[in-house]
Amino acid sequence: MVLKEKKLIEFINFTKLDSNVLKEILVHRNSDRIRKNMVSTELISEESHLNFCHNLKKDKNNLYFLVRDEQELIGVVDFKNIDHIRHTYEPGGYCISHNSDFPNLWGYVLSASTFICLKFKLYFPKILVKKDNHQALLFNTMKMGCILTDEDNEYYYLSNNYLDPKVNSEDKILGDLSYLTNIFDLRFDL
Amino acid sequence: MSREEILNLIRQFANNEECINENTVIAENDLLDSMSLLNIFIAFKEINKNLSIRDVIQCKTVSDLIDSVIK
Repeated sequence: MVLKEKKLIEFINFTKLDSNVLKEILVHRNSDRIRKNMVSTELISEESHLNFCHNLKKDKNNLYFLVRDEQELIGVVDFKNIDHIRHTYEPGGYCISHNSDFPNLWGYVLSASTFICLKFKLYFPKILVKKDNHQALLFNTMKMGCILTDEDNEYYYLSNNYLDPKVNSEDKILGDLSYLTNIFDLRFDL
Repeated sequence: MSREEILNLIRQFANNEECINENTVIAENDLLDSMSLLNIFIAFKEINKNLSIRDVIQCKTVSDLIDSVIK
């Protein structure tokens, strides 16, 4: 019998990364493809980026994680403006590598990031999607179960109550996500 | 376009003829990833100029998707 090896997906807190990796992330963050979909579309200088990452060490309200496998950077997921009393946050991130051998890999990554939400008790996402980013809107609503709650000229506003403890228990959520550990070797360096 | 023709269009964008049918749940099918869905939406807009993104994001199944474009 041939056992199929699980694919490694590793989440690493930016505060644990060395400056070379942080600089590599910045190259992707500054690329036209990714930058155009960010809230801030300005190019970020290396100095500013490294300062920002350094300051995350003492910042309890913003969490940034690199996602990678054995060979390459897969993307970044972040949790901004965390309110630890209300358990709210603004999720964000971007996919760096589209692995054609693994359809919907980014969907799996975001599902796996639920473990981070549970660890930090982040239950109520406030999701903003730029109105011209149809792909993100389709992804968040049709693949991730988010609901469109409002819109203005610039953004769609989405919510998702899946992690609300009044809606789903932690055991239920962990049960729902158990399929991930059958497919992936998930590692978290939080 | 007929339902069958639209279903075939969706199958093309999902790169798989076999595993997509009207009962397919979009959230559960890896071949219907966000890029496929974006391409399907763009193709649907060519068929039905009045189709909005709001119509599409409410769809749960492939059948719902087909309904959205031929309504």
